[in-house]
Amino acid sequence: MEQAPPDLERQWQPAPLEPLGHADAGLQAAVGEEAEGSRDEVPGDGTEHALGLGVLMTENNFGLKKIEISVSEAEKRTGRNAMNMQETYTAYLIETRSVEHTDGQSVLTDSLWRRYSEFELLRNYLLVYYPHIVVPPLPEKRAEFVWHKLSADNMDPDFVERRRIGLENFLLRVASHPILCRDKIFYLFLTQEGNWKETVNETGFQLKADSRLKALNATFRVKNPDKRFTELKHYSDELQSVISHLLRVRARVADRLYGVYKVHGNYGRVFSEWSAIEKEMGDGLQSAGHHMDVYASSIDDILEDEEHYADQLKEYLFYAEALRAVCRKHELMQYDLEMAAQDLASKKQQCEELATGTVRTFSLKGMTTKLFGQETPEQREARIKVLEEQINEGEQQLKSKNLEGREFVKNAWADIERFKEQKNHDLKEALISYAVMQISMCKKGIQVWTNAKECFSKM
Amino acid sequence: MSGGPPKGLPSTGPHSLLDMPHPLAGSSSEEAVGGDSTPSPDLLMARSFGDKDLILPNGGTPAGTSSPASSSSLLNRLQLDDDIDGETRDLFVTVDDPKKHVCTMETYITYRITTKSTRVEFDLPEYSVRRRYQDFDWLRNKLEESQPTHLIPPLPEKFVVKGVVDRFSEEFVETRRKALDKFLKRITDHPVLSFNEHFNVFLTAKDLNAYKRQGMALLSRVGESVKHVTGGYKLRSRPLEFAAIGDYLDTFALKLGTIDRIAQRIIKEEIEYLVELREYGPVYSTWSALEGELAEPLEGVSACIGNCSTALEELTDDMTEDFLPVLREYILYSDSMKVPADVEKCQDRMECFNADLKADMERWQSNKRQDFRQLLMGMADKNIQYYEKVMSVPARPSPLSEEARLIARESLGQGPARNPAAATPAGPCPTVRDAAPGLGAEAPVGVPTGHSRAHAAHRSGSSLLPGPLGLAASCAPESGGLQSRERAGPRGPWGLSLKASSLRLLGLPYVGSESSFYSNLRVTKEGSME
Repeated sequence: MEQAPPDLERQWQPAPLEPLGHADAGLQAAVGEEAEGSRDEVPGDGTEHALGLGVLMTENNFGLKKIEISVSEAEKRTGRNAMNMQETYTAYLIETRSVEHTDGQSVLTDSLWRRYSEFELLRNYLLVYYPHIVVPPLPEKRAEFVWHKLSADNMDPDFVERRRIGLENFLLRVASHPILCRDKIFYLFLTQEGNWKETVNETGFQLKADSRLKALNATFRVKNPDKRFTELKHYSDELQSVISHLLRVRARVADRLYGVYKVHGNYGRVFSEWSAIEKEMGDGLQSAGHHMDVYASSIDDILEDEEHYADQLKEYLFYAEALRAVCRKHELMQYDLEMAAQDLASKKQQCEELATGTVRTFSLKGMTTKLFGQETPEQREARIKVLEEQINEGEQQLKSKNLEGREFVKNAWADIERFKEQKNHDLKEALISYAVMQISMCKKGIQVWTNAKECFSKM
Repeated sequence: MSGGPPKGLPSTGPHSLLDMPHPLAGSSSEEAVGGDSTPSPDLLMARSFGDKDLILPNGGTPAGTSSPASSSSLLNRLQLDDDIDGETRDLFVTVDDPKKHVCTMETYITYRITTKSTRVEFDLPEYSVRRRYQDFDWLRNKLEESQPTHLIPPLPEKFVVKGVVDRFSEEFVETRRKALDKFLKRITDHPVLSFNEHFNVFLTAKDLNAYKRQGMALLSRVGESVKHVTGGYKLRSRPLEFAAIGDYLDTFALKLGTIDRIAQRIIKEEIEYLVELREYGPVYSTWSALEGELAEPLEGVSACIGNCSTALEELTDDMTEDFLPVLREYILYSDSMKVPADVEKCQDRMECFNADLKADMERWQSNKRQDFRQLLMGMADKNIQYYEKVMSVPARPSPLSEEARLIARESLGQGPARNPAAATPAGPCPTVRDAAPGLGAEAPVGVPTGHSRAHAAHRSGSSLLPGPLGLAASCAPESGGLQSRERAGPRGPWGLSLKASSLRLLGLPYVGSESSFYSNLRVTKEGSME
């Protein structure tokens, strides 16, 4: 289903420096598999490879070894940062397990610690080398859209916990993406603790990144981008805006709901105090008060579940940014193409003018010639030659840019379609689970008040 | 002790009802107001006295000529009876139909008082008169004067700050009407007060003002001694046994005050919640307009939130209109019984006074119990109805709500109706009350700080993953909801507790198995590890 991505060398190829002890025939073979689809020379169990190839195409998992990735723990650490100052940060334990399908046992294959900044590094790398892919987003760096009972502090255990889950989700998303999962750097991220940062930086990806300024310029000046991308950009802008609004209001709603429930706890106290001065009414009041306490404390769990719903929405809020990134890349490429075409056209024009002697376009050379005298026929010939070479080169470039552009659009659009499916499915699930949460909340409420009513009736 | 047939205003001395002809039995004058000559059903059925020697005293003795001995003995007899319930009542009073009157001097509201009775003290079986607040106030004062040993029910507030409250608004008038109705009904229920002469006149006289003027003259002639006797003998200057009642009433009023404040606070919070909900719902609609496949579920959520808003508004309205006023009235009621007293002057009357008050207190306690039972059950009911409305299936159930309902039924088990006796949860019960420091008895109602979080179950990543497989089976089992939740099952990127079967239903593979990456991984690792 997925074509070979344009930058094949990203996958399975050792970095310029000697990699890391894992590069071996298996990797080469995998590369080979990509290109040719035949895998004869690979050591190891042949069955797996045949199936390995098959798995790209189907979803049938029988007989396959599954890999599980988990971010299982978070730990506070202190260390020295780049400026040699003491700092506190949180490290996350990433564990990789391979699962035997037959008996469901899992074997730990790798485990290492990473901090958030390394995740960011990984993602930035992926963004540069897979510009046609909607790269899964990371959980938020700082807590936003919090309602007041939640802490906005990065060190707060609840925040850390939710971030741990978010990071795991990120890794699983990458691992289940048919193209991204095969990236070498990603593999190393999971398996090689030391030196990974250096390895990534050595790929020189930061240099290859498009400058923001260039991208902005292209967005404004591009004349003929693919309409679908323009629409997609508008959609992602609106999606971002509506989800932000939703999350903000939801946080306020959660705040208010918390208040409503908690105040009922005061009933518990006052009923208890009141029951102390009553004779026959005392018992009923007391037990009713207890139910009010139950009611008041039930909100904590309810809102925690809702927080996960909010996290699900947040993921897609950040995905909107990833969508925009793909659109931006398209605009950049398109603009580049247009500029190249324009440049070529103007060179051709110049050439023609020189050849025929008519001056239609303004050029500095033309002006100076006029001012300072005609050039010799030899000079003219020389210039025409140069231009013709440039034109040739230009035409080649244009052709390849065109091809690149079309490849990009094709691949990007394929991934976007995949993304749309995923989004619709995920969000539908999230909405359903939200509805289920609401129903459950109502049922609990009914339960508590029914119990309280029973107590009142015995007063 | 029997007297002659009744004539006009109440006669002196008690007499047996059985001696008299039934007011309706003879031909004559049932000119019930409104021209209806058939006796109303509720009067007809009030004839089950039988051999119960219900000698109803005439309580309408003019001031100063009360016969204490007979009063208390009669009270004793009454105490042997059960509560006088509807079937044995012979006096019914209702306050309704408020009307505005505009005169040159002033504008005021009158209320219609409808009385139906078979008592001998009433010439006619039915009366309908109009009275204004002033008249009620007058009545209460007369009752206090003439029945100093009894607890007189309170009236609603006399003064309203002009400009802050609109005296003629529907709400205000209705609240007042209800309170006045309550006032008269309490007097009606009282075995002694209901026979008070002034009460009778209040209910029946066409021209009350004339009677008032007459009464004033009479009173001023009776003399000072009356004043001493009647000078506000209330609960305060009592012997020890009543001191306890005084303390009780103090604490009681205090607690009611706190409950009032809590209820107000809850309503306020609920209204603020409502405001946010009203903004929340439409955002889903906005989003829905952007989407294709998701449009329907999003609209579904929007509709649910709208539903919730409506139900919440009804809840807050109900609580404001029905719960708070009744509560406040009770606060007034118990306040009215704590008027500081003059020192008791007439020692010999002490016993009688004590007996009356004690009887009244007990009646009051019993009524209070019933009233509060009703009030609080009503509050619980309203909340239950609120949740039921929120959960209710809309007219056209969307696929989203249907699916959600199915899942909820599965994961939450059957509906409620467990044995309430087992309502106390088995697990640790976080007593927020204990954990909430610093809320004094009279402190303004505050939200307890710091909520306990018993969440040991969130370790090792097996739980609470957001992701595409997020079917929420995370809700606690029905038993009280306080036990730690089960988190079994395989994880997916977004799995809350999942069952493998539901995973298959969704057609999604396990993580990591989609790509050949990881199977190759195993191979290479083996290769490298030799």
